[in-house]
Amino acid sequence: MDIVVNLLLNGLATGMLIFLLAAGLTLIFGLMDVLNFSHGGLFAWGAYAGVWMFALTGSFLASIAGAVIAGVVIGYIMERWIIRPVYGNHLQQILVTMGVMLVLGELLKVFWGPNTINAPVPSYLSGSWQIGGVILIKYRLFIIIVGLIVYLALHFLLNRTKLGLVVRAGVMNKEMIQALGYNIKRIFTLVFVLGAGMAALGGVLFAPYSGAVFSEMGLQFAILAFIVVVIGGMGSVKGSALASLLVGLSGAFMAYYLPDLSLAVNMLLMVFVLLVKPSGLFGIKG
Amino acid sequence: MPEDQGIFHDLTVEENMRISIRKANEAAMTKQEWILNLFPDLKTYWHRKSGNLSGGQKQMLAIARAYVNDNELLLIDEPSKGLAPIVVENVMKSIEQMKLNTTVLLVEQNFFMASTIGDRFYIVDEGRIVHHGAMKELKEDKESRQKYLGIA
Amino acid sequence: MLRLRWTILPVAVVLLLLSFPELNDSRSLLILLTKIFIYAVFAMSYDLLLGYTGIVSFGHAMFFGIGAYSVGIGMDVWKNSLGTLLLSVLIGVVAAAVVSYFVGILSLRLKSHFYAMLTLAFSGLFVVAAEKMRSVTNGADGFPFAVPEFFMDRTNFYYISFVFMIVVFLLLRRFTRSPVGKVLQAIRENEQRTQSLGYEVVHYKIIASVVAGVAAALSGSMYAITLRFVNTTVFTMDITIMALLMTIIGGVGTLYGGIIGAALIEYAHELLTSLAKVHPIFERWIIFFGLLYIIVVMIFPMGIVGTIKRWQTHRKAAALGKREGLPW
Repeated sequence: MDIVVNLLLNGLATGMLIFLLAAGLTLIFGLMDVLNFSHGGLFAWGAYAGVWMFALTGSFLASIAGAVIAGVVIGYIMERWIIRPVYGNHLQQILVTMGVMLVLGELLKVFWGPNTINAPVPSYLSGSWQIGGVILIKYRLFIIIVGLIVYLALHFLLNRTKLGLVVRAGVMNKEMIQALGYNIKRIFTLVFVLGAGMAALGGVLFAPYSGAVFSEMGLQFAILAFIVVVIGGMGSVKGSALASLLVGLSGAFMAYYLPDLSLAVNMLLMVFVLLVKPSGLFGIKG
Repeated sequence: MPEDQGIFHDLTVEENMRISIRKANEAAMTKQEWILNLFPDLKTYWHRKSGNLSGGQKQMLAIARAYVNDNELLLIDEPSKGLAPIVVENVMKSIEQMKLNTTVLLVEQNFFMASTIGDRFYIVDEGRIVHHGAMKELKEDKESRQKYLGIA
Repeated sequence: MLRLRWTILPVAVVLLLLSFPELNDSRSLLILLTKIFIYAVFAMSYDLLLGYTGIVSFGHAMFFGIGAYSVGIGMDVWKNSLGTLLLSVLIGVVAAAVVSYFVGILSLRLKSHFYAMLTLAFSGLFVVAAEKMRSVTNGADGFPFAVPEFFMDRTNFYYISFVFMIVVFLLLRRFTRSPVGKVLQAIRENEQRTQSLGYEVVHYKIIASVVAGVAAALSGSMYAITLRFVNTTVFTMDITIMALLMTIIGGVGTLYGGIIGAALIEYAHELLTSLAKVHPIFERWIIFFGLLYIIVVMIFPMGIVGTIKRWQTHRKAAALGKREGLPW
């Protein structure tokens, strides 16, 4: 019982982190038709920036803020100067975002060196609670709660605000949105930056969870995020949420019971979805 | 307003209308009231996903959206297609209202509709403008009508 | 006139390279050139996908690694001889063909985004698998193995890899000029139209995928033979990135581009890492190429060789007074 709860928490927490990455990815693809292969790089930068801020200020809140700001800034620069010019050409987009991923990863090593850096959990979030005979690790609960808040905020943004309405409509038909008089470029930038911020948030939250940051973390999480986006459906935040939880939970349980197969299982899921319904569970675009 | 209506299928009627209103001020609300009275079906299905409306209703929604959307130039492609005559009448009424604030470029095969609400006309054949002028003149000009449009 | 000038150059280079070991004693240069030849094949195989067919794969390292590990495992398990070496290489080729076929069947019928994502994920899978199967691969540490003595001599191997590169280059060129190759280029230009002309696009893409996979596996095998060592790095993203950089910077859609890209990058690699002793920033030499790559993708989709070719075509066309169609 104890183990199951532990694995559940683990899975949910990982799922939330993946969701932070996947939600941005799916919106960016849904709206802009851009598959951002550098999303993992934003994740890694969030983590590194966060750890650095924490070491500098000792405040976890500051590190989160720092990470998100870093993500937003990098995201803005990327969208404005690298992605926008190649907008419309899928091949160039894919190639260019992968290039950015490479550069982001290497820049990390330039600033912080190639070695793994320790990421401590802030004292008020470390440790665990005991309820009944079950141990609940505080930091994991924290991640789950933050993830939930982000999901609800995103849901509110998309469904209750005019901006969200425009984004949802844009995912369905971006030409029409422009015809109605909306400045699609600004909306693109906004969505991209939002996704970048979320990815960075995922990174800074992940760092203490895993205890360390290393430059390859971006790619590893990005792969999971891609799997999730495929399963959940491009353009659907709901789909990403569900798929993230699915992948997170399956990963956690697999890691415990059949560790060698965890990535394979997730991949099999993705392959299965691609064969049966390429548009994913809730896909708006195929 | 493209021929396939360009409505957002996954959004409700209400959402489609809301997104078309750029500035939600009193003037816009008045406009919306007016057009909804013209097409009461839209009020009935206010919260229905627009993809689930009938063809004619989708058409009405598309017109309604174009009506509340503030624009300087509106291109409308065959709005009367597939609509019941009484609805076509209401569509005409709405376009005549739109004319007051917007320049409307209407592509229509329905001569009655085009000639009633149009001020100027351009007849296009094989991608070329073969005849144009004031609508009033075309109404009198039986010869041209016969020649270019094949109607009396 | 132009045609003659342009053929003299490669022939001269070939002769120069052939006689190089006689002319120059530098061992490090010998090894560098050998590496360049091997990477050139890898880059050319990638160009077949990207430049000729318009397929973006982020998992090309898969095949490279398959070729490398087949040789490694084969030579480790069996007696060291030319026969077993060739057998191992062959096994690598077959395995690569099978994998590329299945990955192709699964994902080439979907949009390019999906293929890129899938190949990325698959190659990640291979890295993890190689790490986990310690009994076979010794995990991330890898293992050394022996090769026949003839291959151990640096000069011999120089010639072997040079011939290897030339042979593969000629074969690939033959392939791109064949009817199948032409269809691939048509697919790159306009997939829908090619399909509507009656060509089963997916089949052709799979063919390209298999040919590219096999060529990549061969280069991987050669790579392993050079090092006499193999570990999980052969499956990593770093290797795929190399292919990307070499192809794009050298010139997509031209096999020469792959060779030039490989030469440029490997040479710079060598040069810059030796400069790292002077200043640590040079250890991150790849950033420079990453930035160059981004610029090239954004501005010169055709890379160096491609741009020269296009410029050439322009001049020719201008001389003929007619506008020709441009690649890409």
